[in-house]
Amino acid sequence: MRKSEGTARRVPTEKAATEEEIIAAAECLSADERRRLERYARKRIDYVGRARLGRNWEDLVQQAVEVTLSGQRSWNKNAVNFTQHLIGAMRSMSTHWREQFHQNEPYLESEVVTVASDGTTSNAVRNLASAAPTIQQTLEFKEEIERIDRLICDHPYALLIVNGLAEGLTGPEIITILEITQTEYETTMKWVRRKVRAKSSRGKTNG
Amino acid sequence: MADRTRNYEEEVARIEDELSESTLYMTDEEIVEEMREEGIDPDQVSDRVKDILRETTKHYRQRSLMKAQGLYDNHVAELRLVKGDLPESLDEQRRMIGDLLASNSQISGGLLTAHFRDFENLADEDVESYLRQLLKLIEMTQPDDFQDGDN
Repeated sequence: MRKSEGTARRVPTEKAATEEEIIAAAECLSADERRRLERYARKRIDYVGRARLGRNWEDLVQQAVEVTLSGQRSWNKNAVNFTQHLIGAMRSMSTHWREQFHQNEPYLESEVVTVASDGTTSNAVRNLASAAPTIQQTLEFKEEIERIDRLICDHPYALLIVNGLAEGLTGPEIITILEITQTEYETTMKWVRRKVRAKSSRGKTNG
Repeated sequence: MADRTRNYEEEVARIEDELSESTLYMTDEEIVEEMREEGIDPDQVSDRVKDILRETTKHYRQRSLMKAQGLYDNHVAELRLVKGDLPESLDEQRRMIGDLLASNSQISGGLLTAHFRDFENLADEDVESYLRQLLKLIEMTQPDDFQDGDN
């Protein structure tokens, strides 16, 4: 379920926030908003999976701010708040990372080189893995699916929802098929999140 | 054995994709509770994100300044390549500015900045730079055929 689709990539120049406005907004984020950014970034890195190529949630937050400042992804401050904008940017970038990895598209060096606060750089291409999973990795993903199924199988909707998602259905499609409300869907997804949060067998290390 | 017709990695990714979106449904209290359950200090997380935002904006500004400095340096280097030998003494340089202004009415008549109009008050260290800028300005305002003929 996409909540922040208002964060359009192309924003008319007159509506795009200036550099000063972006910096001021970053300074003014509340502690709750900063924590929400961290939660979202961590989960997106989980989603990116093997395509993370050494990048972690901090890199995702950092790059979301950088693309905003550089104007690559303008912030329409009249449409969404700064947190929603950064979440939209992180969603878009992480999706791109994953798709790029699995389609074997070429990478720009700037996309995979990260600069730490002390100025040292790391190039994720050095960790470049094959897009095709190994047999071992395939088994681990299978075990992860089975682990999730086991954890949520007692819930009236959870297993149906998760199986629907795994098959490629969208949230709205699942809501329609199961004849549940949006609130029931969201409550169930939060419940699933709590259940599957324990460290998975895939040994996530997203920093 | 794994079912070869299924893409388990893709299935996991689709679930993770939607689980990440559940962050948007969570209340602030639920987020803090989740962090505590994971053994993470919510205040430290908040501080870390604040640091990331500050470092990123700071580095972006520094890069912008360095870029601007680079453009300025290129401009200065370009001015040093302006044709014509410059007199060595400051008096001669000041006199040359006066002569150039007197013989280039199109510049002294409208295009000139206050700095050039008030050139007699220029600080000594600025005279050479302004003379080079003036030569560049005159070069730019010459008709093409004049410049060709000059060469």
